[in-house]
Amino acid sequence: MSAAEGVRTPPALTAGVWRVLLANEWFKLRKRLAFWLTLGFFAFIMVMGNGEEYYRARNDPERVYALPGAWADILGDMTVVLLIFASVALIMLVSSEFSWRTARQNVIDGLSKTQWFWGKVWLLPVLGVVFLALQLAIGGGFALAGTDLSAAAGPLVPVSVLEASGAILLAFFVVGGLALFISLGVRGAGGAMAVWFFWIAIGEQQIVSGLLGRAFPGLRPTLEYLPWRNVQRSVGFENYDAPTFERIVDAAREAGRTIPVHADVSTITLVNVGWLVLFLGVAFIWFRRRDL
Amino acid sequence: MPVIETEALTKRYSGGLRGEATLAVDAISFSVEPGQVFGFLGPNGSGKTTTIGMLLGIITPTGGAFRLFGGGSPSEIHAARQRIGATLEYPNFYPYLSCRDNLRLAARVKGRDEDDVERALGEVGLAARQKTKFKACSLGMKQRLALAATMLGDPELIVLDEPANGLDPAGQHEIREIIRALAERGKTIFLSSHILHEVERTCTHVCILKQGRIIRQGSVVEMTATRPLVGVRADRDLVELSTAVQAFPGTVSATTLEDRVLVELEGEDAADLNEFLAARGIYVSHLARERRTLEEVFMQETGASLGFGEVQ
Repeated sequence: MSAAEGVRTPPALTAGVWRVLLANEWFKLRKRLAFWLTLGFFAFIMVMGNGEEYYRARNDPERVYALPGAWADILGDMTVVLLIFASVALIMLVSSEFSWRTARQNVIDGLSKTQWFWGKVWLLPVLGVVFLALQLAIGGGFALAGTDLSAAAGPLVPVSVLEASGAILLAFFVVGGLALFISLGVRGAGGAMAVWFFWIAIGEQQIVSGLLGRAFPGLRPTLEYLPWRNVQRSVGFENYDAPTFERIVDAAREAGRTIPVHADVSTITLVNVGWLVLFLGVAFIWFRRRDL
Repeated sequence: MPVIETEALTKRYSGGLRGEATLAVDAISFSVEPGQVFGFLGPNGSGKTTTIGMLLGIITPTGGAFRLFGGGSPSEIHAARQRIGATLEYPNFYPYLSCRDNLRLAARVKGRDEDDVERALGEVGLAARQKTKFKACSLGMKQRLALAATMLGDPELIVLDEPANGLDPAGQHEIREIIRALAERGKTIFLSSHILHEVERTCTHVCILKQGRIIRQGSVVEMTATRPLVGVRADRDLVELSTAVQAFPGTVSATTLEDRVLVELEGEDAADLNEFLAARGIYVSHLARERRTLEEVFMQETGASLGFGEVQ
């Protein structure tokens, strides 16, 4: 191999390779204490949040916490917790491959750098599905306990739940893709987490949006499509569930607030896909060019 | 067909925004034939690990080319790597997994089954400790696990970078025995090590690197049997003796060792040297033909010192 060919090893991503990559990542994931701790903390927060709603509804006849209406709470604000915890798990799983030098050993053992990279990309759907399943199970479980099945009107799990779940998965792919990109660049769990949190908490919100928005007011609508902002807009349950959106509109009308406009879900979804492709693409090129 | 063949292989690290670029490997060319036990030697920072890293695909060369098992294209190189077992620098495994689970992961990548994991653990004597987590292993166990990982899939080429690093003499002996057993099975072994007497006993060929360049390569027999070599002791201190020896017209080089001066002579003129020294009032108490060790060759070629004498 000549120097010019050095960064162009073949991808060789056959079905068999995909299976091996998934099997190995799943094996490492389920044996990793850090993953179970992260999942445990996430479950604890979900139990606390949903449990509180359940007990308040039990003790207050005015409140209702039952399916299908409770999906707005289950897949509401708490989705941000999923995005954060699943991304933290991803950063820990990817970054440690560099501190333990197992990334280089994996390549020495026979994986190409391309294959190694896609093995890590596998973690996006795996973590997304595991965390989302837990969120749905815990929230759905509490809400089901509070549901009078004989009096339930309509399906307990409407199509909007599936649509919102898909949007949450895509949202995690975006913030997780950003976390993966940062992990491959920083190559240390602490540093990668710091950079990732800085971006979602300060960098995008305060620095990019704040400064650019102030300097160029005409840019403000465009800045709404920055990754974290766009992701937050994309996971609102009201985007996918008409009754929930109507309730929000009614509440705004009664309170004399501005009537909210239904989000343009197609555009938001398309932008999320764009961010995902950008993060993974840049991460892939950057990773391939750097030595292990 | 050589197992490994490099042509002017080069790695230059850019110095970033302010730093100076570093030439870690400077256009080195060598080849390793099937069945050879090839020692890759050099002081720290001479470019050994960088070279091995390029061959194993974790470091991208900035110049030159290499071929593995005759193949030079990216797809051929990738396919050839399936025929290589290797460890680089330190044993790199998942600390929270057991020895067995770590090997399972590597075995899946290499397309091997549980039987192969079993066999490799047995060959390095880790079968009884296979459930021990890697983080709880002693350094000796870690090195053995690394060797077991290299043996998975029965590779034709085994690349070992400092396999006995940090081990006590008993551990070094164990590793050497394993390497010997592999060599006897006809494996091609590419061995980087600082333990030169180990290399001399194990390797058939060596290549010595210094500051990224090859300064000597060839068979161990050729290297250690060059010109006539005599060890000299006399009734003077070694520095004075060395100075006198260097004044002898037939001296090619003189190396001061712990207890003697090792003199490389132009021809078979040891008796003349004795006479030359006696004429200067230096009476030799010991003068014997010696075979040059690889360590001495290495010290002379690299200008290194063992701390008890200077290479002249």
